[in-house]
Amino acid sequence: MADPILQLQDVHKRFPGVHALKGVQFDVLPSEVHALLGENGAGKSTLIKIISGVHRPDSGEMYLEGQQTHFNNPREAQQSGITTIYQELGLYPELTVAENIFMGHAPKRRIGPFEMVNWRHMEDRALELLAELNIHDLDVRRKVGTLNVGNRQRVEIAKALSLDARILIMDEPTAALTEADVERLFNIVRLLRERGVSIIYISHRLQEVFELADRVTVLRDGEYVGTRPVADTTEDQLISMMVGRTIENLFPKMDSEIGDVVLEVQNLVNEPTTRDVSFTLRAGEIVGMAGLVGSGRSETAQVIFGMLPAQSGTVLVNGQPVKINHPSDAIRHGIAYVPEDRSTQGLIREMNIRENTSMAVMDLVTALGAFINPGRERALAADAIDQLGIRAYSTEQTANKLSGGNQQKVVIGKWLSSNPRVIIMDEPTRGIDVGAKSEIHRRMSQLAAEQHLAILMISSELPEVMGMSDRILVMREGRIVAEYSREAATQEDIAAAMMSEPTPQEAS
Amino acid sequence: MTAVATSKDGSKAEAASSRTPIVFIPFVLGVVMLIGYFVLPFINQPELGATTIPLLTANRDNNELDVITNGLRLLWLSGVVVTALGVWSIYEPRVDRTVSVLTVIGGIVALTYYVIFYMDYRAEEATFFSSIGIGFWVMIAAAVLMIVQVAVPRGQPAKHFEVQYMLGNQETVLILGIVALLVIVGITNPRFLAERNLLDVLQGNAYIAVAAIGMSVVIVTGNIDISVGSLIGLLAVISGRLVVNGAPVIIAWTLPILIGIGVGAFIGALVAYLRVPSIVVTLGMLSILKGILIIWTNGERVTGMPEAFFLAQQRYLGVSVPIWTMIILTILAAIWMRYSQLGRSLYAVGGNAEAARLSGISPRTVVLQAFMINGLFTGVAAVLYATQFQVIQATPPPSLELFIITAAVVGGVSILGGVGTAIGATLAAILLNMIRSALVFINVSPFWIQAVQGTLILVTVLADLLRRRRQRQRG
Amino acid sequence: MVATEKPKLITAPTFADRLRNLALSQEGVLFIITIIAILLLSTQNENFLTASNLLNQGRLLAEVGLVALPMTYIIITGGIDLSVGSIFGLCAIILGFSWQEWGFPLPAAIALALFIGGFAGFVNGIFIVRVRVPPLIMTLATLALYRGLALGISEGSSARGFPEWFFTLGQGRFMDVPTQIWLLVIFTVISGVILATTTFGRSLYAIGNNETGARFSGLPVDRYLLMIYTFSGLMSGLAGYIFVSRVSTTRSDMGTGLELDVIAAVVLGGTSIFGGTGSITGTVIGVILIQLLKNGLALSGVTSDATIIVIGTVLILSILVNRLLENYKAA
Repeated sequence: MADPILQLQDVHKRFPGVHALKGVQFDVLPSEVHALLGENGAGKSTLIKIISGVHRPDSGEMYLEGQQTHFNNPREAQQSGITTIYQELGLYPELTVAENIFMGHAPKRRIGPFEMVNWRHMEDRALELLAELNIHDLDVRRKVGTLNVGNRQRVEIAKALSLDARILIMDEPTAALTEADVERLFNIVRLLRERGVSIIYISHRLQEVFELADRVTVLRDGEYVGTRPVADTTEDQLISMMVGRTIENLFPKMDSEIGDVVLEVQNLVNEPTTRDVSFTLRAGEIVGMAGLVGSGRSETAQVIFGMLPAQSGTVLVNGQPVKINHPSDAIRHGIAYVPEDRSTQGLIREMNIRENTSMAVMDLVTALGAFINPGRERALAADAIDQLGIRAYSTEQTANKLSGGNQQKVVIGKWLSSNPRVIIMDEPTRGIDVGAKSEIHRRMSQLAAEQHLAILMISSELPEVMGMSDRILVMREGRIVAEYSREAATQEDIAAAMMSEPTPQEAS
Repeated sequence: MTAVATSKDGSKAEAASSRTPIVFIPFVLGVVMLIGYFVLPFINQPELGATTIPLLTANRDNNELDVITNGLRLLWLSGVVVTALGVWSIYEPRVDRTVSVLTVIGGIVALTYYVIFYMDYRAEEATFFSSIGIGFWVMIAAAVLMIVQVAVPRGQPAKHFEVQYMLGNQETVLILGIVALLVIVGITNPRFLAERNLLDVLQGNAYIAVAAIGMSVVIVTGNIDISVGSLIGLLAVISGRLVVNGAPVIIAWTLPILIGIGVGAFIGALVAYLRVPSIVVTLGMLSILKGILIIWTNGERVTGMPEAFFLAQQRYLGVSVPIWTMIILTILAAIWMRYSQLGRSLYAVGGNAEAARLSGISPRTVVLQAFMINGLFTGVAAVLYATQFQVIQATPPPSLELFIITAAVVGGVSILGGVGTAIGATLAAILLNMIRSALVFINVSPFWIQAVQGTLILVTVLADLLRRRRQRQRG
Repeated sequence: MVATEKPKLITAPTFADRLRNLALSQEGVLFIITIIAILLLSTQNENFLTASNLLNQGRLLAEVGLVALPMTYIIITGGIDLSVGSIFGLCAIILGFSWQEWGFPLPAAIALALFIGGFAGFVNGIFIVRVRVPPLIMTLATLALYRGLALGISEGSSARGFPEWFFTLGQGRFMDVPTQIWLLVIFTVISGVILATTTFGRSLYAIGNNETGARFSGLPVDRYLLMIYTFSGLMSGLAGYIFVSRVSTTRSDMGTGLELDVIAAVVLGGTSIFGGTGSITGTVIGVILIQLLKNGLALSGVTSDATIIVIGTVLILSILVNRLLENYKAA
């Protein structure tokens, strides 16, 4: 085995109130993809922030190519060849592709006493870098704000290469990507590995780890659990390492008695994302909606929910046509929507659990029609905490102090408070660790089986769609193109339906 | 459509093979016009010079008449050719669209002037400088740029022409606005185009443009400075008092600028290091500076400055110092913001401060420096303001800060940070001031001028906003 | 399966928590500053702490106070309204001119002025809501526009010679207290209660913290925003009317710079300029503190104009202290 290019030993890091890393060790070999796994709060982020120079460890050693090192700031890490691609993308939407790639280290030209950014050279270099990644369809003078997520990520990778990165840290790079973009990303990662770049790869999707990584290290509650070659391990082993227990079933789907049609959508149109969409949803049924990102699933849901206007089409609730022009109409008709992006759409993060829980149903906790009764509000929130098992010490706890899984539970709790008959869940478990994921799945099953809610679940994770749904709809380019029953569905069929025509690349 | 990256050799070869002679026409034409403009008048009547040729009227002698007819002939000829050339270049992928647009504008301006002068010979104050001059210089500049662009091969072909791309450029929109204003108001009242009036507009506006550049630097980082009006007032009085109390003129000019930088540093430190929102700090500074000004001057104007003090009244090469300052500072700021490390960091910090920090840029230092630079520009603006008239008022013009912010915003600076240019800010300041002047010329009641101006500002802002939105939707 | 042991849930903050939060809040800090200011100023001048002086000060602060109420709402939603001073001036002019020049009966003129005020605010609101113009930009533009309209309508001249009853609001007293103070108190209490206890108030905070989130929760964001900008115009109009009634004349430059006084008071009162937090209580203390400082310093012989230095300093310092306290709280 080659000597590790990067090695960390017995690293500790404390934040006020939290012992985030408790004697963690970690090493990276040259030209390997090393996956880092752990639930949210396990210390992955802290670890990579230490490696990339954002935080300094309280104790412990870091060796880069055998030399003991420490970084005072991200710049020093970059200069030593360690670059990070963060989850929240570190790009400047109003600047061009070329400039984004070279921000902070643009090629210069000396004119008299002045150092000037050499734009021509910068654009040429950017083109070369992209070409090295087999990317030939990006205009380097285009503003990054006009690119889609996949292309932005390619810009990020090119940026890392421009820094001559030897170690590339990727923090959940596929979280927001379409399947096609994920494939392109994997190809790029493999290309980089062949060129001798080491990659630290963080993801919640175990599938990806098996597809891409050479070794995997698992952290739990700030402690080092172990490092395994991927070839010698199984999904179940990794899950039990991550959660410290075995999760019996990630998709605890219960048999449910399927009742009458609750929601019927007929010929719904909102160009260009929703084109003549029709489907039905029955009480007690979980319908999975698969499709690529950008296939119009969220937009269709938002049209039903009244966030986006419908150009034509009918929505029937319990057989009655209803007019939904605003989310409040939808709520009145018993339709709830758990949005895709919980931090900007689902929650008011600065407000506490109590305020968030009552946000959509303030009328239920008022006296005299307008005055909020804090007592009833607290009861509502306590109820949600109780029912969904939200780990919080008080209803007054601010939402952004909660972990991702608990935040998502608050959002679900908020919508359950509105007593819906139909609940649309858009990516209900994205970016949530395995433990919380299984809890949310169990709760969804209960809602359908025991409370006879109709659930429309939009998800980009095929195993989730397959594991949770009674029926599966597939959307492509604003249309529903296929429907499968739970029994008849296969992963291959769904994937094929999602992509059966070549997805057009953006704006070209 | 995105331009596909052709191999470099390919594009070079292509560029070399298609270097058609047609692109040199504007250049040749430019040389001819240059001769016509500068040389012809001197041959016929040397004492008239380039700028003061009187117009075609009944009592002019034949000699003058010839000169002017020659000039006019040249004007329409070149106008037609250059317009055609500009239109052609729009479909020529190697020519930057801005240059194409400039060329078309130049041609249209020339033609418009021709029409105006053909129709109205009696516009007594209108002179050659203002008539042929503007269209002429625009044409020359555009032609030279176009030749450079076509002649020098680039790493990749320029983008295909797209209307949205062209309109996506706030500077283009502003130039179009200025030209439209010149043409429309010029037709209504040719005196508006008189050299003296146009120079007056530019001169009176110069200090606002300078301050607007500083403001755009601050706004690009996602901050704002609403104390700038009070600071200009205070620094102007400091400048005047210094010289009245016997300080050398050079001190009276430089000390206010240094104080401006100091105040900028103070504001910047509060914003960057103590994290007080800039709107709050500068709101407080507005009160503080205004209060100091009132106590100190007791409402009395500063007078009795020596003749040498009036920097803004001095002229070099026929153009006054404020206009020179405005032009030079705009160019320097534009180059600095586009080509320097710190200049680019402004955009990075304004666009995504967290990402900037991770790429090793210190947002705090950048914000501090942005405010110091704003202080510098404010100082220069204050000196221009102080030295333009014989007296310095105890209070700055009311709502000066709002005018400056408006100029920066109309100039294409996004109030949310991350976007904007110095040239845009200057052009917007010119446009806003020109609107004010134009309203006088088309006989709008002075009492209604502010209302009309307000409406126009609103329209400009709305148009800019809608344009940006369309652009975003397209992407 | 996950073993969910249920930790004991604290549902209400303890009294000690509340006390600590209150003392560390901007309102708390300001309240203490106000008390200190009153004590200091009363030792400087015996006329300061007299009923007549204080009531007279109340008369002076009523206009800023009334406009500060909707401004608090607006800033809480993350917006701003720079056009209040211009609406104030426009309404004063409309009042005077519709009565004197256009022959309206005075009550109708007053009603028209208030309507124009509300309408001017509505115009701000409709552009902010429908066209999504950033509030700072929209109201910056209407600041110029409305002032220009005032100037254009009045053509620089002023209206005067109002009948006696017209001055009741600006110069009269009710139960020994200046009329406009009653009006201010009533509006303050109503605004405060609405903000603190109703779904409308809660929605404003939600919009200020996360507008998208508020929309996804089904809150009528657009309608509420439209309402508060209209309210702001209306209150500016009312303040303009009170001002005309107080000074007996109309001029087109009335209320110039009012927006800065009002915003200073609101921000001083602890409303975050970025939205999401703030209270009417804070705003009231902010308005009072500014007026007390002006008055106290004037009585102590400082030029009235110069007091704005103190106000500016207090504004910056109070926010600074607040920032430091936040850091302390967070730690």
